[in-house]
Amino acid sequence: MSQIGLAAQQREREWVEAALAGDEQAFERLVEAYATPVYNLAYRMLGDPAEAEDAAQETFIRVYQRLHTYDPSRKFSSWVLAIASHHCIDRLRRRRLQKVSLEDLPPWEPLVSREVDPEERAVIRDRNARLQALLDRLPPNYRLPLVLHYWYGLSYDEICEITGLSLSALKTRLHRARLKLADLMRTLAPDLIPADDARTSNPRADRARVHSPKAEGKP
Amino acid sequence: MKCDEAVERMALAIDGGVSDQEWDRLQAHIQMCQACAQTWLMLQQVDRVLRTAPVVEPPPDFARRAARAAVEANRRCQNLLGGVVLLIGSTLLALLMAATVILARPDFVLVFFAPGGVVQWQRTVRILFEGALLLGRMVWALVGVWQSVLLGPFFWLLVAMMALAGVAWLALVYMAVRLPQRQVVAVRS
Ligand SMILES: [Zn+2]
Repeated sequence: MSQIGLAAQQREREWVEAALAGDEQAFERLVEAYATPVYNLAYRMLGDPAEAEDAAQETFIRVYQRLHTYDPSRKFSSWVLAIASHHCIDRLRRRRLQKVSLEDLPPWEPLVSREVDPEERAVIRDRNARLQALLDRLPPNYRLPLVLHYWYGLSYDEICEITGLSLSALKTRLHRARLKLADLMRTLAPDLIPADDARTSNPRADRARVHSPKAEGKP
Repeated sequence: MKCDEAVERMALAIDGGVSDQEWDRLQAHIQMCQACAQTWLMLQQVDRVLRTAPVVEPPPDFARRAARAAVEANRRCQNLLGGVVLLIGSTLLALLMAATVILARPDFVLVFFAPGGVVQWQRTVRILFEGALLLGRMVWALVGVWQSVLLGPFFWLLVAMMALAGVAWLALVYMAVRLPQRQVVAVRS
């Protein structure tokens, strides 16, 4: 782990202690440090900026209320991301229930469909939003490991800790999620696919995310 | 290497999780097998798209708003918790006080069933609740001062001390109510 990483962790620990002692400014610093990671996770999981903001907000409320249960021997980032992940999964579960109850309505009720919203469509022209639209089609249980892996550079061990998955289940889900996403990309958004330049060397040297950073050699 | 094994290796190889030896074996299979070459290409494409996907930023003032909302929500939650604890505590205290008096002077109970007992009921209940409420307010003021301590280890020390004080106080009430009866008995004999 880098020197900067360690210093940041030490600073975080001080902020947590200060926040626990009632220092609201210290908590504000923690929120500032985690606003983007938590918001991005919520956006990637929920696919909607407004709901992502809501979910990120709710995550920080939970972080503050449960701060006294945080175990300082764990990484603070993992702890926060776990809270955010669970909250997003909860929301998606509730959303599914709501959808079912919406479908139960008689057909003359005006159904609000996200797909036909013209504003939404304009936004989807954006490349990033289009990738997001594809991600939204993955089952949440597959989306979460993928998001944690690619946007947070977490090791398999850390993702297992956050999601509660076993290592073999995680590997399976990551693999299937990638294949499914590749499939979606080909059929729905072929222009997102980068120009072919097949990798010919083992990426082992430049990014070994399979193992925990703790296990990696120190300088 | 068979296709099943090759696909299994690919899943790890994409994250740099195979040795150079395994990598070479995998590449050898991909050279020969059309289906696996196709899968490998798809995996790599997805991998590249995801690795270059941007991190989405929240609105500029989000952090400040979120922090304030969290602090506010926590305060509301603690107030609610305090209110519930206060209500339950006061009721329990009132019941304990009643029980203490009844234990000390069982003959007091007869008053309630005598003619005009309703007035006794009203008076007793009022006294009990006013007493409990007064105590509750005192505790609440204490909690207000000690709010930052509420969830720390001191909180439980505080609870233990208050419980002890409560028991001592009830014992005092018991003896105070009991004492005149004995004196009366002594004088009579
Ligand atoms: Zn093959």
